[in-house]
Amino acid sequence: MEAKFVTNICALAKCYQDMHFLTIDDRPQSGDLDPGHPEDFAVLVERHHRDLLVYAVALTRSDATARDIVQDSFIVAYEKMHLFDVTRDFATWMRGIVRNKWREWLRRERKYDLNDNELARIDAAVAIWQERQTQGHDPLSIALETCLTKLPEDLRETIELYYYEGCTGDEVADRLRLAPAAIRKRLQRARSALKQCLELRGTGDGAGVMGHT
Amino acid sequence: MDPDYPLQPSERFLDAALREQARLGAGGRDEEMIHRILQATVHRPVNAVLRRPLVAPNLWDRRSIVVGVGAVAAIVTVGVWVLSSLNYSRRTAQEYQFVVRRIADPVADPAIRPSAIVAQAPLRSLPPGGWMVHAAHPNASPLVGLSPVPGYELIASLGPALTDSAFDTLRQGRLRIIADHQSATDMGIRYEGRVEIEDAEYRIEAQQATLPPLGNVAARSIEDDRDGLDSCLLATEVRVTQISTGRTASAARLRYDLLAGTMELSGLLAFVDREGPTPAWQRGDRLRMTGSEYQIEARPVDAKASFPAP
Repeated sequence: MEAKFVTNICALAKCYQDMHFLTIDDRPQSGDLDPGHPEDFAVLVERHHRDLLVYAVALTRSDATARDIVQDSFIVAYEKMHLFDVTRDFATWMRGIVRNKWREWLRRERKYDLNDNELARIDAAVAIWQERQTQGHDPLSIALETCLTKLPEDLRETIELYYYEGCTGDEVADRLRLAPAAIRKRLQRARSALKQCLELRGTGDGAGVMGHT
Repeated sequence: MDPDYPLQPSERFLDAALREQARLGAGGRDEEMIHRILQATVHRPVNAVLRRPLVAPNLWDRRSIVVGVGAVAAIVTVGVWVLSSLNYSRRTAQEYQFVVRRIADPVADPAIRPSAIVAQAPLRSLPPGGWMVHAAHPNASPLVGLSPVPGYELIASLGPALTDSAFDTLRQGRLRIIADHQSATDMGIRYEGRVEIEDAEYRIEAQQATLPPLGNVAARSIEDDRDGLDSCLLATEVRVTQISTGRTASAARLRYDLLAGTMELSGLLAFVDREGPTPAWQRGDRLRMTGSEYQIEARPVDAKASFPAP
């Protein structure tokens, strides 16, 4: 319990440092890719766009807005490439741009959402997977696919209907002949189990066997 | 997003990851977004890059005021002229999505009328304006359990993406076309003036290009050079870049068979192969490109135009 608490605190501290553009000596760089070179930039777009999409969807909770934000962020990055510090991590820089675009969007929409702690947690979760991918490990989507196969049948079925078939919560409840509250609970349990599985994979401890929590 | 199911902040990362997983699959990429980003960045024409002055000008000195007034007058004049000619020179961009897939319909039978071919096509809701071309492959081996005469079909739509998860898909892709003018003719949709066409494999600049007419349906051999115009993009005065290899070529005429995936340039004017020594060729030769392979044919004595007369 204590170790987990320390790990979370460390992740949050690192994330805050990233957010405020401080440097960390052992931070992974963009490998041998030079974002200022067009071909390398194209590779970096392909490598990072998915994690940034996840990040933007988590921030905005709007698929279309998230795509606009990520697209605009890459274009801004390309135009401001002369401001990029090559000693820093490209993924971290991109998350910063996405964050700024998200804040602009919140101001335009006159919304308030997520406090600093909550934002830092989401940022840390995305950062872990971007770093792992830069280091040549499986990307988030592959790890998530593996974790999905380990879900208990009832949870996987609920996830499939809700996310893959695009049913609303009430429609899932009708299909499975359950109360909407039960579906909400199942989705929470499924996300919790997947989060646990991804944390294990993200820290290199291998996938755990998931059961009902 | 389902508003009835509010999320805790701690669940938002997983929720977002699942949404993107459902949309793109494991390891999948958002090709459309990548394309748009690259078009706006690394593939953007050089003259579109904004250049900023190194020293900020003093806007209130006499010379700046005179220049400013002159510039405003010029902008107003140009604006009026542009507005007055807007109907005649509006530059448009369109996107064609296409899928080539194997089918088991006996479409090679000339007794079957085109309307019957459409009726026999696999059940699918085509987007408005969608069109199909069917072709039989003469060398194709029969599929087990299917008709002994397998064929190919090209399904294309203008604008909306084809959502059909195609069975036995051979090729699929999209063509993005930008031109000054477009018009419907008997030969199909004609694009004229600074035509730019791009798909995953080629970038084409042309003076004029023509796509088959919407609703066109025909049966043909996939390797038949003469009768394949119903699935071909045709263009004149072209410059082509093969993106994967960096080869560039200029020619008088182009024929890009979407069904077979072959590019043919006749009346060759220039050819550079950056991957290796460029073979001997002469002005007027014909260049065929299929994937990473290419072939140069000497100019025929009785040249037969592959581009139809307007």
